[in-house]
Amino acid sequence: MRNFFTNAGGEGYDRPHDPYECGHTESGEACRFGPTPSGKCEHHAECQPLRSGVTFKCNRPEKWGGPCEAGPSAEGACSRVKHCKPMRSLRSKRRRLVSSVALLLFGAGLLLLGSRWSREVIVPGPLTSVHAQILNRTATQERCATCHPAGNESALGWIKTALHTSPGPTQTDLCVKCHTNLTPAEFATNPHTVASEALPEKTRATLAAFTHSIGLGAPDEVACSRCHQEHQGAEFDLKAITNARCQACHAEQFGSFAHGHPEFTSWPRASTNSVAFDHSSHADQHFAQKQQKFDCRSCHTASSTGEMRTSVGYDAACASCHDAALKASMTGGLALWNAPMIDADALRTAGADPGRWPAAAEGDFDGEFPALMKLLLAAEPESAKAFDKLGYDLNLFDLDIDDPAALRATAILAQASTRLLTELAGDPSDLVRRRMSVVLGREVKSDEAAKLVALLTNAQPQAAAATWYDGKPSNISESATGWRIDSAAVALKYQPIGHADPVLQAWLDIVAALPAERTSLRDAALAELAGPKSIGQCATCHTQSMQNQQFVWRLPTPSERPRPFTHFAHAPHVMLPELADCAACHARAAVTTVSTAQAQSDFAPLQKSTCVNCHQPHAAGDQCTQCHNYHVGLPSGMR
Amino acid sequence: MSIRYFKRRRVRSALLLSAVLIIAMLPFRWIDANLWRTEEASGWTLLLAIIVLTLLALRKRVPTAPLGRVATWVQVHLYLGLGSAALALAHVGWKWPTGWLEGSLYLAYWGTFISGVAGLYLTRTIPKQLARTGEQVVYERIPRLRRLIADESQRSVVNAVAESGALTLANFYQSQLFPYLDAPRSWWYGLRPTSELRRKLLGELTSLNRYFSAAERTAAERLFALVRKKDDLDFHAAKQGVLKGWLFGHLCLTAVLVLLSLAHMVTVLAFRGGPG
Repeated sequence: MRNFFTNAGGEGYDRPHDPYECGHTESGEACRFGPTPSGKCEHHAECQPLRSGVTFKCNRPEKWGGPCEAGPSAEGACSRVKHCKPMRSLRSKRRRLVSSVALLLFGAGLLLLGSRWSREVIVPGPLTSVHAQILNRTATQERCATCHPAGNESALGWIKTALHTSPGPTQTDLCVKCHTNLTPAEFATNPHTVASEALPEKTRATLAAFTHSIGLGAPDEVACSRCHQEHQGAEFDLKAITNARCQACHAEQFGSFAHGHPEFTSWPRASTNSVAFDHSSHADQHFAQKQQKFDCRSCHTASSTGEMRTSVGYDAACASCHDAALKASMTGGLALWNAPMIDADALRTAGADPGRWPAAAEGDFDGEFPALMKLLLAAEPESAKAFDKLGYDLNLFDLDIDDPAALRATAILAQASTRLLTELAGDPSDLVRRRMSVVLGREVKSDEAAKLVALLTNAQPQAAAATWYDGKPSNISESATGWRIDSAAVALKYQPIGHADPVLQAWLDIVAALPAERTSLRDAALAELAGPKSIGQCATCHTQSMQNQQFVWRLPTPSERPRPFTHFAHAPHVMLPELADCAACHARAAVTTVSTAQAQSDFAPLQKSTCVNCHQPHAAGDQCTQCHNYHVGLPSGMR
Repeated sequence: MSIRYFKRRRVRSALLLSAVLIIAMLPFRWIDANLWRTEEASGWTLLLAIIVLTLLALRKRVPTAPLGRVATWVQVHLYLGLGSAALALAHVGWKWPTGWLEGSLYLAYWGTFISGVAGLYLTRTIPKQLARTGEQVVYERIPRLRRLIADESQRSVVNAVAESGALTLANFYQSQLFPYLDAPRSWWYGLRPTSELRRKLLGELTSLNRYFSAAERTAAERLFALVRKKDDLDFHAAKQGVLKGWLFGHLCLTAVLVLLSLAHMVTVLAFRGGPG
């Protein structure tokens, strides 16, 4: 009973792979011929009638039933013509459906790409809020091109860009175009965005091998997108990176902060842009002698964000003890012009004419040219040669009067000094600007020169010259501008106002900026202006920056400090009761004096074990980026 | 082949898949630690997997090509398809992409994956159900076979009328049996085949038996057999129709997936952050 269908299904051969099948198959009368694979189906007669005299007779084969009853027509046409009915096979229908869906999708895609939503279609996700709030202001079409070189191209252009690297700007170039303040363009793709020479040799070698192994051309081609992945949502942390990725280039790798991370040897490191302060001597000697409590928090107060301030400033922290001594050092004033004692007759006898010289300054050789005067005189080539002969640290008391060349050089300086005073009597500010431009080897601006002479007018130099050279009495002794004529010393002096005097600062800045070829002049000037007993004692506390030798007049704000490799946030730490006392971490080292010449901390380095107690993966975390910055060297305010 | 063979093959293939996945995922850690993007690696791997999965359709178009047994290809297709889910998760993570293109692509992927899993279930259960009917038929021949049943039943009834002159069976046949035997079942039956109608018709035929003449009884017995055949045929049509329909859907989703994958690849390469 169950074998009814066996071998049933009609005659013919099933070809389910063919695109067409006979439409009569269902009726049990499958087409004998066709349809062809292309769907063509001829009409076929069951026989080809044979002429028999004037009539025709059927010649249908016996296997198809033999001659039919109706027979051919009078014209000889077969009466049993099969009309083929081509019908698409199931496979063909499926192929057409799949092709239709694909074409529909392709067409819809082309329509969308041609519409104004073309960029919205391909955006993989929302930008982070920081980028979104900037880019949302631009037109939709231009938004992609802000960061992607292919952003303005057509869909065809995208295919070309996908297949070939575009010769135009890279995406990193576009990143740096906006983040000009974040990264110097020349180091934008360098590891840690610093010159490769700044990296340790071992790391450079490892980096070169690494970049070669992953197919990069040079070790300084780390694109921004290596670490920063956009389109991950508004709240996505673009700076998030795994510890493993941090160590990709490092020669020495380790498993975790607790295991393998090097011990601290110099952390916290003393800032190179800081004011020298000896914590030990203040705590153990000065405060102890005055029976005052040395409280860290009196200077290092917490800011509104909870971070520790570096200092509260001179007036609050230092003035009560140091102001009297500082002002006492300023009583002599800062000499802009001062005539040393010269034996004019001796010079003339030796054939070296000093020209006119103040009578009050004639006598046995004695005294020095003040630092400011040396700076101004050095602008004249012949004066500079004379100083080269005599030395910028010249004291005329030590002049070798048997040396004709030394006497000639002294005479040249005397003439130059007179000429200097005469020119000061013209336009002091312009004179200083011109002469310091020569000495510094760069154009000194008018406002810069104005700071050097403050409110000095030509009245004081004119009166001084008239008094000293012509013996005319002058009633100008001291003006409200801070400049005064010291007749006893034959000097034109400036009287500093106290701590942070702008004129004193301006001249020290000039001295610090002297070019290398004027080293001897700088050393002589620093010896006078920045020595331990100098006027204002400025350099006792204000160090010169290790980077540019400029004096650090005020402590940089957090936004002005160079972005360090290692950072530390006090706020979350001092909240812990056991860390509320600064000494819990900061133990004073056995350093007796603090040098202003080089950064040196008077605190013992922290122990890594102190941090490891909390900084474990399951506790406070041990991510590299918790303590280390990748982009270093720039002030955080320019990030 | 024995059931034991298939069980052993399943365990072996599952273990092989797990091993391949673990080996494939291991380089991702190395890739991440070397500042490459794991998304790129998993993306290319996934695209390669999709292309290999698509090749099964092409392989089936050239059955005579010396490219290995289709059964082997199907096994590779099944396990690679299952493994591709792990690659997709590694590529995208436990989230849903928010972009239009990426969201559509992910939808197409999971649509294709789920339809594939559904197909796996259907191809493992329907053949067993069909085997229980005893005789196997080719799907394309079902209309022809239905016609044969209708013709056979009609001949039996006409002969009975001619022999006995009674119209009891003929009337019942015309009103109830012929519409059932001559036409395919509704689409609803295709989704949920039942033998309810068959039992109802056979019950009615049985209840009329006492009114039939001898010739009609003989014809009725033949009709009993033909109704059962038609029911088996309908069952085959429904179940094989589900398999054919599933393939329609799976292939359409695959076409969408491949096109969107290519579009995704082009946009990613065009808009990537640069070679460095």
